[in-house]
Amino acid sequence: MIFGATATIAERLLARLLENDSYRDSILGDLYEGAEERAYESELEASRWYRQQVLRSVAALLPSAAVRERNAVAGAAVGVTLYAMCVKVSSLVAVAVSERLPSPSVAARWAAYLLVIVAAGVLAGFILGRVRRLPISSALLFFVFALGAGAHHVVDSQSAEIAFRSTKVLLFIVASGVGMRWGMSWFRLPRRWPSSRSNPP
Amino acid sequence: MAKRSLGELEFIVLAIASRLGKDAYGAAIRRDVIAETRRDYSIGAIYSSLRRLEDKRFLESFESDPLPVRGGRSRRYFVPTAAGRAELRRAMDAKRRFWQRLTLAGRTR
Repeated sequence: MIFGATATIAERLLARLLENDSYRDSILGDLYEGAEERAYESELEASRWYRQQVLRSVAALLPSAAVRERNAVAGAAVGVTLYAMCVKVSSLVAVAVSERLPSPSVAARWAAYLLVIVAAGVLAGFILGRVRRLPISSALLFFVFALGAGAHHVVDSQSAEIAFRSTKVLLFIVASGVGMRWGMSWFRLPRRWPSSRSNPP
Repeated sequence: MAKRSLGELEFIVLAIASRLGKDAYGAAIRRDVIAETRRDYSIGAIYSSLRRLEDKRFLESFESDPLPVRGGRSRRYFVPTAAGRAELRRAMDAKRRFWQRLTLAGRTR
């Protein structure tokens, strides 16, 4: 059965991701079985479900594939995503921001820079705690990091000294890490448990 | 080896694998997890939990022969180990005690 061209591309990506994985056949087989069940009612719905499941499974399995299996494709995908987050998208944000801002003093620029980075970290920490529950938050996390890194580029564009750049990169890492830690502890929500909706066991 | 305590999803997956017995494979476990929690977990998320449980030696798995209904792919069945069943009992007891304490605290108010 054919689930559409997009599904085929996604399936190839997943199959490549799971190349050396002992669960490979089981995961691909489960996807196929689920889509086959849905295809009895609607092939369109089956195709949609299949595509969605493959993409969501890639997102769920990517980190472990990169770390555990040392899978080159997964590693490259994570690397490209981080690169896009921290450099490419953020540089677009930086250009957009710096074109609209008047030139502030150095101290004010640094203060604003730190504030944005910490705030981005706090937001990222909050979102990280919820990413598993709300898939849209993943996109928001991407945006927040891009925003933080955008501020980083605004400061970066004022000076090209190596010492300045190194200090700034260190500061960026520490500030976003601290912010993220705060975000995760401040906004940690109580864990939901299915039995809490009904009577205790 | 990974940390040996159970996460929320791991607990549910282990309990359902235990309940399903010899029919516990990925798609069946996912179906029951969704039915019990009313949350839509992806197949990848379920397999991530199954993998962690296997790493912790709470589950062991074996593959079936290839099946036509799965495009010629096999199923992987998961069976709780003795350590898995013991951990499941321990986690259930802990939750039961927690609920009892909550109930008692509610009554004394």
